[in-house]
Amino acid sequence: MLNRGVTFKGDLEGLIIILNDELEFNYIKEELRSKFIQAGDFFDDDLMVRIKLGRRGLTSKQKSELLEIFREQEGISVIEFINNDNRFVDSKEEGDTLLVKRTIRSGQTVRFEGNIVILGDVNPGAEIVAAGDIVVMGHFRGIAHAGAKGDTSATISAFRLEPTQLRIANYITRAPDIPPNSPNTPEIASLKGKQIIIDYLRK
Amino acid sequence: MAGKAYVITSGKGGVGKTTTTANLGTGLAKLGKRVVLIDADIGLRNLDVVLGLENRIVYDIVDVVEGNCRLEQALIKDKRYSSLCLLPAAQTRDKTSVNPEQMVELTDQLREEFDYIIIDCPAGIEQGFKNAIAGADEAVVVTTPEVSAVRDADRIIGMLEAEGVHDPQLIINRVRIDMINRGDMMDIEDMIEILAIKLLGIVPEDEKIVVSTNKGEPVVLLENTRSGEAFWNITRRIEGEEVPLIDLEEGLLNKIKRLVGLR
Repeated sequence: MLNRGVTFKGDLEGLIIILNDELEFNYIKEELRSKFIQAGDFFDDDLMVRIKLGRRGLTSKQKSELLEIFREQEGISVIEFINNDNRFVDSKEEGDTLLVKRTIRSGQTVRFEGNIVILGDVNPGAEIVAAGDIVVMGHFRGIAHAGAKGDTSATISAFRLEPTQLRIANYITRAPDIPPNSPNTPEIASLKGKQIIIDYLRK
Repeated sequence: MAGKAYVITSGKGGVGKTTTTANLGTGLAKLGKRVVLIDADIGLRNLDVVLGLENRIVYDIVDVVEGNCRLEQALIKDKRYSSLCLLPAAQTRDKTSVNPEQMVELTDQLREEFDYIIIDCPAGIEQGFKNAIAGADEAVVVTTPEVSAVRDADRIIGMLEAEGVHDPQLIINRVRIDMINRGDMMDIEDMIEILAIKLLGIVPEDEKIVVSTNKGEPVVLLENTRSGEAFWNITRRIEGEEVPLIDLEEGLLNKIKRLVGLR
């Protein structure tokens, strides 16, 4: 097979994989798979991969097929799709929400160019960064950055919202030094003017 | 005048490096000194929690060395003393994110602005330790009256000397006089004899440390605490004052006085 559809590049933040947007999707997929086989154990732990799609738009099915290939690679954990205008493809469709079914512990980061849903807790010292919304189906005690690419309408919600710090777009707020008794109910944080406010999820 | 950089180290974990760093820093700030604390324990940061500053962290030491922000942006001002600052460690990275040359550069930069730079060293003798001591002029070795902690302290003293940090000073932490009297704990005299470095202070075991650490309020600020008093004395000794050792027990005290040449 000619290797002209998939290019691997590295930079400070990790690996960039460029997919030639003029070639057929299945062809690209096969080349990607064979490249990973050639690479073997070359990629080390926690490598962040960004995939440049050029002008190519992906259907949800194609996207999950690509993600499947990456899932087979141990150590590659965070994936980001970038197309030409540097925005997430089809950014308000289903399929660009990352579902994480575990507790995120201190020192761990979940980063995604879309929405993030955590089925578990987020402990102090953990960081969730999303271009879109963040939903935590558990206890949130860490740092969250929603709308990380500038979306001021992004929200952060959790079953129990007791964050160390919240960031929405370019705004930041921290927990008070004496922690208040937080209500025993789900809450949502959003931007109102220049301030991040927290309200009950269901009034 | 350029500031002085101290590294607080121990080799062994859990002997009280972070507690010592927080209390020394706060104590020196209370004396009106300009102090910056550097948490060199990248990936397992704690100093921010002990100082109650965790929720203020936006940028950290890795952001500074990688040029994501300016040094001043990463410095967090203490709640109590405006002359005290913290340069927090990154939690989502590891020790290899910073190298010794960068630490030297960083401390040199901070020397201009502060009287004291106190570096909280991680446990172990690997890269984190090498980073932490790279920029230091002086070292304080913290140990506890346990054979394993003293063994590690001895190893650390040797490594400090090999790296060109001479004449480290010793803090013996978590001392329980009742146990020493029963002969169940290492004798302080024996410890000083083995380690053969200058004694900076002795800190008694104190439940209040746990409370103050959890609350994020250094014990050195609390009145009538034995450990707080001990840290306050150590602070003043760092500043060059002659302060007699804390009165743990008469007989023992005299022995130590004799050893450190106060009598």
